[in-house]
Amino acid sequence: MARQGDLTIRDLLNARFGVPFTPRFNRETQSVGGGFTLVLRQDPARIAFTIVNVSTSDVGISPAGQPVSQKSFILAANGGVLTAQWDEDGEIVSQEWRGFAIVPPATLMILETVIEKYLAGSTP
Amino acid sequence: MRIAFPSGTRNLPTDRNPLTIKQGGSQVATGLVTLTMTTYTVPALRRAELVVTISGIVQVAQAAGQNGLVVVTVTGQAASSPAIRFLGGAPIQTADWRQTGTIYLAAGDQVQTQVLNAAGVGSIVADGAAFIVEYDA
Repeated sequence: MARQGDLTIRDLLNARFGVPFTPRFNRETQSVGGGFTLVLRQDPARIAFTIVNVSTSDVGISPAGQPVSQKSFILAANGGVLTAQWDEDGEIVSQEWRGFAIVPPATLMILETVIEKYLAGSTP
Repeated sequence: MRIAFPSGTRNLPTDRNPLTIKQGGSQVATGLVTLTMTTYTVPALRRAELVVTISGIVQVAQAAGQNGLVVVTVTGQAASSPAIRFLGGAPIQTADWRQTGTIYLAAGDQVQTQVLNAAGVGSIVADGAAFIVEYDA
């Protein structure tokens, strides 16, 4: 619920969720090779992510603890998308994820949504 | 967790919108020579279905013992490839043609149409064409 003094989306997020959250693009990397490459670092403030495979090669994306490439989500070439969010998937969203390309290198668009600390001066 | 696949070109078992390729070429093989009309190689991560045609006609009569050949060569096909033979002594305007059935190829496989002639005064005009449907493996 918006209140008097709310000026920005961050104010609205504060009002609705109690915390603001902001996007991060390709924070770790923007391409993966033939071997496992870190695509999302472990970050307990991450509440959602979207990974888009914009390359012409299939890409495998795997959460930490799955050390072999055969165990992965396959993002199809030319626009395959993997999304996860905390209220559906729980803590795995915040854990480390890695990826590899079937025909390296492959470019990814990685969007993370990360909780920001409340900034003094924002509308509480 | 949600995973989405592009609505574009990739669909099983084949693309909804596969790439189509048409190739054609002509050569004149006079004397000892090997000439290529068409060459097609399946790219990585792709497969292809294709039909190939070859034809030939003797332009200058083959000399005695001058054997000529118009042939479709396919990777891994070591012997008895589809071919037309113009044997020594074949007179002018001797002509023939062949069309293959559907050929299924994997990444890296190659199809060529070629004309080969042996030494001599004879000359063969050869045409080759490939009609290709190519899709994701």
